[in-house]
Amino acid sequence: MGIRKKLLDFKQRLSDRHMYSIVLVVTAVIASAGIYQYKRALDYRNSIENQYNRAFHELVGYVENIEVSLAKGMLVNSPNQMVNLSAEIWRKAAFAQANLGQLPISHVQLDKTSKFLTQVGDYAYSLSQKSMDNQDITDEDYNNLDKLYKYSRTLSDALNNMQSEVYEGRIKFGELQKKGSKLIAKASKNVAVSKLENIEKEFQDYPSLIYDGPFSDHIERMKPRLLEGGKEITQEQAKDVVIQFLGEEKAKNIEFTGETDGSIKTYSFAVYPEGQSKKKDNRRITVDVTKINGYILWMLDNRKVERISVDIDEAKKKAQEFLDSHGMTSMKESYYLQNDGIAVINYAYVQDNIIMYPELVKVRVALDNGEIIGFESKGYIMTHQDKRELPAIKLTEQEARKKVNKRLNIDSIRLAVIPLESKREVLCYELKGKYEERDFLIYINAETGKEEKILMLLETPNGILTM
Amino acid sequence: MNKYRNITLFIIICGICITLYTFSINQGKVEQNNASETISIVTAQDADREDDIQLLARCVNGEARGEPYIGQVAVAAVILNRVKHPSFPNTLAGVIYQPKAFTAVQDGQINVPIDPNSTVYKACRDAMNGWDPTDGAIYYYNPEKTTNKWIYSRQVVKTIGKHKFAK
Repeated sequence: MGIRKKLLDFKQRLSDRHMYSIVLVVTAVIASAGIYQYKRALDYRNSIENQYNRAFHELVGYVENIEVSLAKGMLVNSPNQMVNLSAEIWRKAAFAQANLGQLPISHVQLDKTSKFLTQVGDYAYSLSQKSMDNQDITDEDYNNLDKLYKYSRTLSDALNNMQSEVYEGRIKFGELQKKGSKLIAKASKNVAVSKLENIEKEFQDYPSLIYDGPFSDHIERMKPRLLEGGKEITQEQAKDVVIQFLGEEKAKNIEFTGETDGSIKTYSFAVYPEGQSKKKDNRRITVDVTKINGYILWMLDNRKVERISVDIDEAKKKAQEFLDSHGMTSMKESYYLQNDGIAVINYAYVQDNIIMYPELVKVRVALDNGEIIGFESKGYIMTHQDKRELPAIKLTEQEARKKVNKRLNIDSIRLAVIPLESKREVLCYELKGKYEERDFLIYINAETGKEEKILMLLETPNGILTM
Repeated sequence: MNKYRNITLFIIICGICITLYTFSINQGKVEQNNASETISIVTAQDADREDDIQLLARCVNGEARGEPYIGQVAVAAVILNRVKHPSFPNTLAGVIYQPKAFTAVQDGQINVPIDPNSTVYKACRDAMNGWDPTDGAIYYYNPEKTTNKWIYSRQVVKTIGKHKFAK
């Protein structure tokens, strides 16, 4: 009785006051709102889908081009052609890489493909450098090219397969995006993902090429020079190093926060000069000390700087004093940047009047009172040698000047060791000069006279940037 | 009186329906958050431009605005490390906007304006100037929140606050 009567009652009420029409209108409004939202979502999805398809299409095109260029590379017989071909491969690899990074597929699936594209580009670049230096392309180079060619074929075939599946409607990229990482688990149900996974598996045996590329694996395995043959210190000893570095007054409140297990193993500490507190902007100095030999790898103080009362020259003096008092006496200031009341000044080690750019130390100075609120020495630790063996200088200053393009008005010249790609270190003449109101640095190899690098100096209100 | 009660009842039901519709549009986003929560994955160009700082700061703001200062520097460093790393896109924008790489980018937090008291700009500058608390890490995750099993296979280099940084 209860429900039926209630329903009839309900129906009765609805017929009063045009309730039916009101309900109808409201339902219509809700329905149209719903349809509108749905359509909008569909539009968004379409435009995203289009982006993905564009990126994918471009990727396939570029990879095919790379495959063709690598095949040609096997047959090239003149340095000229090698340079042209390498430039092409390098450019296409860069574009392929850029488009790969726009696909809605998890990085895990694309890791090795991405690496391959980077390395094929770098290798092509290094071959073109070789050709330009009139070095012969060796059998080993051709072997490497052959390997790269075969890998590019695998990739190209797989991508082509994927492409035809997309065209036949069997995969939609939008679906990949929506289902996210669940797809990685259900790889077998989705051809696109498993196809790329299979490519990844084949690349597992991809050897790391030994060549002069910026992204060679051997760089990541580089050992810090300053720590070679050193002794490991204990956590307690590391703590003492920190206290000595910051001064006992500042480092009263010091806490061990863990270890770093990277290429340079360190002990990490947090120092609270104003005591610990839950406040978010509580002043905290973080310091990492190398496990071997106990060097300060870096120090960072998060304190705010409110007013500026110290100018940059004063800051440079304070930084120099700081370095001198901590045993780094042979450092020369190179460039600085200044922002928000903090100056970061770069110092490089000097040996026999030659400036060693790889051996960089950075000092961060607060411009309210000149306090040192940051220190960074990874460059120095990785590359420092007390007495570096330098090659014989075969060029005189005069000869170096002649090697520079006449358009440059040369202001000064000095010797420097500069880092180039793949951590190569080269002794050069550094010539500073002006062209069209801008400053430039040109590096001429002191042994061979080759023009190694050109840097443009951009003077900004915040300091000098090199480009 | 009954009629007034009916009208209010209908208005309430309509309100609920409209809310449900708008909510359903966002549902997809929430799902995505859970799915791509963890892996934040980013090669180098020559110079650091001022606009790079802006982009980087927005991303760090989205990802780590509640973290202590050193955590912010660490996140910025991871992004910059990815640019240099061969497995990731070679530009800052490429790394940051890589689909599924950063949650903050996925759900729009990167577009949240930066609080004037925020320390992210300073943190980004420090990272760009070479301070890397993570020693080259290219991943980071919060072990209490992550649902991704793959990330555990990476070598953890450092722990800062709640986050583990890995290579």
